[in-house]
Amino acid sequence: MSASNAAYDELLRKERQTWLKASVPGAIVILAIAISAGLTGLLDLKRLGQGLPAIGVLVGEMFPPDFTSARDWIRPIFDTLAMSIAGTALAILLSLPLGFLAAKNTTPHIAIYHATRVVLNFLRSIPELIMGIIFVAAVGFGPLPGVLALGLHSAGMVGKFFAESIEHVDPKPIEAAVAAGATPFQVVQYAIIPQVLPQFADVTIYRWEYNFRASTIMGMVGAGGIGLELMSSLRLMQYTEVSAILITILLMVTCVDAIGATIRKGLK
Amino acid sequence: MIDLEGVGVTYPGGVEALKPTSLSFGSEITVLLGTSGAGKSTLLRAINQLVTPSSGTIRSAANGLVSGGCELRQHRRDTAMVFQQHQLIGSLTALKNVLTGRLAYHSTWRTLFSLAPQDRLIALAALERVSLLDFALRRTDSLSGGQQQRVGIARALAQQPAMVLADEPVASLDPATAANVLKLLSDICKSDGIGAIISLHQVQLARTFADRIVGIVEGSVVFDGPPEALNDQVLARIYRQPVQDLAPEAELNGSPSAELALSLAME
Repeated sequence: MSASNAAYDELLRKERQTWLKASVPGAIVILAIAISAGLTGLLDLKRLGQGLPAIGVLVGEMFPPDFTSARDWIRPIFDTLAMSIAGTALAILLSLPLGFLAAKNTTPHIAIYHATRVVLNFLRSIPELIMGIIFVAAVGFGPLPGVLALGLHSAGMVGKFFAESIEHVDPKPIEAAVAAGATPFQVVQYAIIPQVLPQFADVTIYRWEYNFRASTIMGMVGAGGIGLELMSSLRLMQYTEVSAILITILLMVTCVDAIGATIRKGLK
Repeated sequence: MIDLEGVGVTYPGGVEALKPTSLSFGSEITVLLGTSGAGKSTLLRAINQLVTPSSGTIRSAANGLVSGGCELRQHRRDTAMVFQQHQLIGSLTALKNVLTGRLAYHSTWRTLFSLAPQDRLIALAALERVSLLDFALRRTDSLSGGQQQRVGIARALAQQPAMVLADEPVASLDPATAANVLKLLSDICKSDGIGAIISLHQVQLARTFADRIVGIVEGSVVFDGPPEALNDQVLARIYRQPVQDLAPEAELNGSPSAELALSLAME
């Protein structure tokens, strides 16, 4: 009896130890949140209190939304939509080869694997707005620099997603294809792609939804679309028009997300 | 006809899974017996070089010395493999899975868009051989274990092979289904003159279907002979314990249900 009691105590002591160990990461997270909030002024209640009325004034000036020049937004809205679709297509086009090169199980060489990962990190780490500025300087104003910026930045993210789903495929059908005498490319096409296609499609639709939201602000750097209208209204301090454009964007984003969700449901 | 000459496999890390082995396989049905880890899978995978042998040569009647490149591809095409876990893509139809068996007949460019109608007919014929024609357009993950393994066999048949390598093809099936699937495989091989090398766990099934039994212990062949020569002494050597200690397995194989399944399958 006493022997088992000692065993119980030992187990409970161990349990307490694991609990203590688990609480250390928790404490670190709380500390990091506190420091970050302090550094950024989130805890500065006085400043927040002063800001609140200013926001109230601004919101008041935005009311009522002014849709009188709504006809002029139709073309920019279609530009924005086209930018998001073309940008996503460009991203997929780049991501397919990059994804296979950046997956450990399909890369032709480990050096190519590392090089491709660096390229993907590089594309991902430059924000699309910065890319937009660069491409506006390179090819001039309009939706084209927006498409290039969205496509390249998205390729960094989508390519990484593709690579990860390729790495997680079931190796058994690959073995079967190799055993049947398939060439490496046939293995990719007939044993890997059928397995990753559902994930690829899912990521693509998600990215299109994201790219539509991102493309609404591409106009701010001169890359066309509804963002350009938003920027000019802001500059002229026509806040009633700003709110009208924001509402229009909100409606468009809701529509695009709903379309995306429907397509993704159809893929399941 | 496949000849292995001193074929040995040492895995990275120094484990000698297969000691240098010389064996010849013809158009008979050979069953490999041995404990898990004895080297049965390694031997089968060395034959089609899914595992690269560290020593020795493999020669086939049709393709000569198998080294790499074109000959290896033809050799793999001529030696079709059936796997324990079926190795199918669940989200694809049975037909699409079987078409994988046709890939080695074409170049990468030829198969870039789709396989030829001729290949589809061969694949459908293979599915008909295993009585799954009605399931050709069903997703394979909606099929039962026995049906999935029959798709695996159809894929092997679509390769129009001279030899079938089967790595514990019935290990993940219940006894009745196992006997059925094995009977199907051996009937097709016999009628088409295809050789087969099948690794099995069930001694009873080995005795029933084998023309020749090869016993493997720790990467070496310890027995090679007809099923009639497989006595208790030999079994004790293969499973490295006296036969009475094998009782659980013997009981399992000799259990009424397994006997019944076998007799049903034989009809």
